[in-house]
Amino acid sequence: MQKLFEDLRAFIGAFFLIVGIILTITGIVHPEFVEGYNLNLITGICFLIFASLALMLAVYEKNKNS
Amino acid sequence: MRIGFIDYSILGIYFCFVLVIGFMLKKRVKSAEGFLHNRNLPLWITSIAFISANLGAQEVLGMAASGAKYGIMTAHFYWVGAIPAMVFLGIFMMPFYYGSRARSVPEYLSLRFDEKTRALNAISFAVMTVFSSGISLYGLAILLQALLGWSFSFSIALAAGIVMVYTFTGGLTSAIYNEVLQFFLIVFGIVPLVFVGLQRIGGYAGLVAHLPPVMMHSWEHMGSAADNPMGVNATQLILGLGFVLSFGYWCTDFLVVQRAMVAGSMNAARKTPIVAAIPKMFLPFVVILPGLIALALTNKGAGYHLPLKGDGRTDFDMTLPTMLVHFYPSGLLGVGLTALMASFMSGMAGNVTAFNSVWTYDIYQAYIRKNAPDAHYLTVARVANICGILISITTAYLATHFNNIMDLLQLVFGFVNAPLFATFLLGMFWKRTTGHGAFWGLLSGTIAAAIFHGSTVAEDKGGWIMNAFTFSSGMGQALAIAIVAWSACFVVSILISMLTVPKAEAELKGLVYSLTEKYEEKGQAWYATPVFLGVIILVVTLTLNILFR
Repeated sequence: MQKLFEDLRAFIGAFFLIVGIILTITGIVHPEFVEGYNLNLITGICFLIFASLALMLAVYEKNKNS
Repeated sequence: MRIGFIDYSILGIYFCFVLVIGFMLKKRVKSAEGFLHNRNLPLWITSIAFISANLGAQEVLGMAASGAKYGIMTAHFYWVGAIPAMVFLGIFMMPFYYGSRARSVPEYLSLRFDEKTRALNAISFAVMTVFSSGISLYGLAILLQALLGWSFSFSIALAAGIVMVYTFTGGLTSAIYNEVLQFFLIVFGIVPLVFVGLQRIGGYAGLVAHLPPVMMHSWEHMGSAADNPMGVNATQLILGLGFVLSFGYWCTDFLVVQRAMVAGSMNAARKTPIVAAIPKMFLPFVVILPGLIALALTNKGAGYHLPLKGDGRTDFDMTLPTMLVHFYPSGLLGVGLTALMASFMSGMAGNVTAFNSVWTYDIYQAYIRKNAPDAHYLTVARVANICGILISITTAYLATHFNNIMDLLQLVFGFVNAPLFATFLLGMFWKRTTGHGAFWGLLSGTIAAAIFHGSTVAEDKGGWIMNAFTFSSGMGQALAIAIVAWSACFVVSILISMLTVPKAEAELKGLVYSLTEKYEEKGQAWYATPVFLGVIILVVTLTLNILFR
């Protein structure tokens, strides 16, 4: 686990994962619409997708090197 | 103001992450080399760090402000004032920086020219970086005071404290890692603003409809300085910004060049600025467009108005923060504010780590104590880290008492930076250039810049010697100063070089173009070579210039 988090992609993934979860939950619990869009929910989901990609790349790199 | 618990939580999570990055990297720092100059970073990190080093909050806020003030012409800072120079750096200059095994730009000057040229560059750079860091800190504290109501001292203590911890523990790598995180935060934090802003104004067509034509064309109104809000003509722009200032900054400023110098191989070092140019081309749509949208919304009367200062004038610098507060709900607002905070902090960290390298290698090791054990230089670098931050804090407080100090510092930075590219151009491509020529050329360029500023006036600035000419804008004056400084440096360097003895050719191998073996991209497909990528990027940049002409 520690080896994984030496990869910057894992750090970035973890950060956007946490923030993405917060935004998604906020968007669901307290939906606020700006120009008709639930910005927290949409951005939260985008963050989660980006975080998943970053984490997958970090895991792939770790497996490749081990 | 709707900043709530969730927004503060996101800010808190960011602080925790940057500190953890510093501590995780601490065990990798076993030597001064590991702290200051770790040549093992992959291309994707060095490329993003390369653009991030120039994506501090002053740039982010400044570009949105310029977008509202000058319109799409602000994109010249990217499409004319950055991309060509970045491609040139990757193709022509990186082989010298990286191949010479110099650890810094001043060290390259010492190898190519002599110690006095290195000292002049190292000292001026060290002073500039540490003061720039202070200006960054001052800007952050002012912003936090305005947006969050935090006191000036608390803002400074918090930001400087966090930067000190993560740069002290993880050194340059830690600063670079945080720059990468900051890049993604800036992009993800501002793109939703562009999206909802465009929705409000009625899409691109609505934007065009609510802005005067001059704001939506980057070249059509450049025939005369009087025809555009920037107050510069095409010649000034191409020579001053596109050549002197742009190449002077992107090709010689150690703060950005350092990001390429820590790449794991020559190939990665050359590709760093070229790959960085790809997102850089499209950054105007993230950082400039919000300014244009803000102006269009103000013109339309669509619920948002550009912020005003106490005296009733428009406060362009607050365009982006006020747009964030106006459009974003609590949650995303936290991301936006964290992005701004991150860009201030990484701007400061970048300056402090560059200061550390130059102080330790180019001043302390070169002139104060040579041949000391590595552990000694590691300690010196860490002490320099603390001192750099303390000087930054002092500068930030000085700026509160003497507001003009910021203008003065930026002016002096301009005088010093403008002639540098002439020195490098001659040094790398004309083997006859001597150390004396380079040194006196640099000094002459700086003095010429100061005299020109003192003899001309723009927006009530300058003219402290006489008023020989009045420029229609401060930017026009700044570009003209750059051209004069560069020309003075170029001419004086050539003249003095002709009168002095050059280094033997054997000493210049690997440092001068004509005496260096051409770097071959072994086993690399033609479409992945720096030259091919560079050409593609220049073609796309030209296309963007034509599209938004």
